[in-house]
Amino acid sequence: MIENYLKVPGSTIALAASQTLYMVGWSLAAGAILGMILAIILVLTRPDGLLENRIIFFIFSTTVNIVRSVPFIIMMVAIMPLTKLVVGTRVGTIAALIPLIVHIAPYLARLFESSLLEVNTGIIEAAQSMGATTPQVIWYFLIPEAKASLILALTTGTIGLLGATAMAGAIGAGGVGNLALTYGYERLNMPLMIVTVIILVVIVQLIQSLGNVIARELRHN
Amino acid sequence: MIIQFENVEKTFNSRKIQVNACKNINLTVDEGDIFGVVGYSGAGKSTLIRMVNALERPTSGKVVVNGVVINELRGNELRKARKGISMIFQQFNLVNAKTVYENVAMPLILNHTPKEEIKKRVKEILEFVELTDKADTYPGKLSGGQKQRVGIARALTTNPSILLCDEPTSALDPKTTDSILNLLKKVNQELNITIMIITHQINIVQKICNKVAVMEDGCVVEMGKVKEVFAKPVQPLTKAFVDTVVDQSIPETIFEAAAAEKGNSKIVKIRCLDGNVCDTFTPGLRENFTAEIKTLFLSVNEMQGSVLTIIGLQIKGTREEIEEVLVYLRENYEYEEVAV
Repeated sequence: MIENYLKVPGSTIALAASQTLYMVGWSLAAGAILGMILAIILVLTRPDGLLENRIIFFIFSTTVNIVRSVPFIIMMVAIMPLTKLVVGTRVGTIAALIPLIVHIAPYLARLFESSLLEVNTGIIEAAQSMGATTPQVIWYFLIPEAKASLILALTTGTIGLLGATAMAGAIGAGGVGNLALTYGYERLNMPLMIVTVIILVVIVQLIQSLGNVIARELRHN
Repeated sequence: MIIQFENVEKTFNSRKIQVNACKNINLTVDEGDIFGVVGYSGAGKSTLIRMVNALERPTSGKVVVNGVVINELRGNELRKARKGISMIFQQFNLVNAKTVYENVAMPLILNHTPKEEIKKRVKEILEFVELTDKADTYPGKLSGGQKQRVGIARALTTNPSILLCDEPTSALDPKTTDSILNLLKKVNQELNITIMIITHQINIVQKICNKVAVMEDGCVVEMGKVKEVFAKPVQPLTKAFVDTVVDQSIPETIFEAAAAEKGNSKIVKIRCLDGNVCDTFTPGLRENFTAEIKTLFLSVNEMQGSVLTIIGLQIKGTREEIEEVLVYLRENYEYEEVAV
């Protein structure tokens, strides 16, 4: 019945959903790890940081800014040679992962960076006065203290990533966004368009609520 | 001595201005001391205490701690030295995402101490600071005084020889302040830990310190045993500080009335540490001299197990009669004339 109304087979919708999930899942995982590493480098090497180093800070900070200033749709085609090198193809769902990671990692890095910088410097001073090594300061003080804020940053990043996957249709990656564009927009299928939009809105709401709940649990205030 | 500053200078260079936070500091803290550093904010006290554990390094000079020049240490050697010097803070600086137990255990976790040993030690130390029932609570649920107790517990877990206190009671109410001060005293006496405490509250110095250094504008302007500095403050700043806890000025109305009286008279202020002046001195004095002697003011203060008595007198009579009394005072007491 639903298929009649939307004029699209259920399997097509299921495939699109799984493609979106796949893209968001993997690029979020890889992007979060990369973003965290970048954020820690930025926090440590910044002026007055624990391992202050103007050159390294400048290189990483500038790189992050440059990558962030390229719109995702352009990024996808611009780094195609890299994509081909890494996953062996320029198109399809797997091929979308590379630009998605390159897109989201510096974005998350900036969000994580500001979360880590929110941590009261007094706590870092306390850690140093105990004789903590730099990795210990990060692991036992910085990250636990920033945890709730990091979760909220990750939530924002996830929602941004979901938006970016809609554009991945341009290189044949499929996904829910692509479904709305090809079937909804190009075939003038208004009901499908509306349903897709509703689904996206609901998913975003769920992600945000989940992030809020986890962050609240972690705050312990 | 356990801490020694030798000709220590510290200059901060920001973009355009140069700030001399500490100028030519020379001071010694002995084992078992509770050494207070007092001064207004911006006097350089924070910088001073942070040089003891090398959170700041002097621009020139030496800071010797436990026989080692700490400002020359780097990396592992510095981290090892810091484990013998603990620190507590005005804002407590606890990790809010970890329980009281985890916070107190932290220095031991950093040292890779076996879990069983950590458990035993944390239990012991929580008993010492009377927080056994709060082990699984998060700092956010604690009062300021309890948070500072956690801070002290965390500082004690590694059995340090020195405890640095950075304005430890400035965020607390007076009653809580007293309980924290009593705890610090207990730390000093029972665990034999040398304490260095910086504060802008002189009453803290009066209550628990045995030595004090007064800082102004990056310099130590006065230093010595608390009893002696309080009995006879020399610098205007020290006087102002001591004034706030030891009542030593003749009330204005009384002073003005006395000053307005006709005839020859002098007003003097006598300070006496130990020995009870009001019992032995005034009645005898009045009988032995022809000059008329009036008591204008009397203040008796407990000071580290001694009594500091300050007494304001008006002496009336002829020039010779007054001089006779002054000669007697000069021989027996510490006194100053108060200008009329």
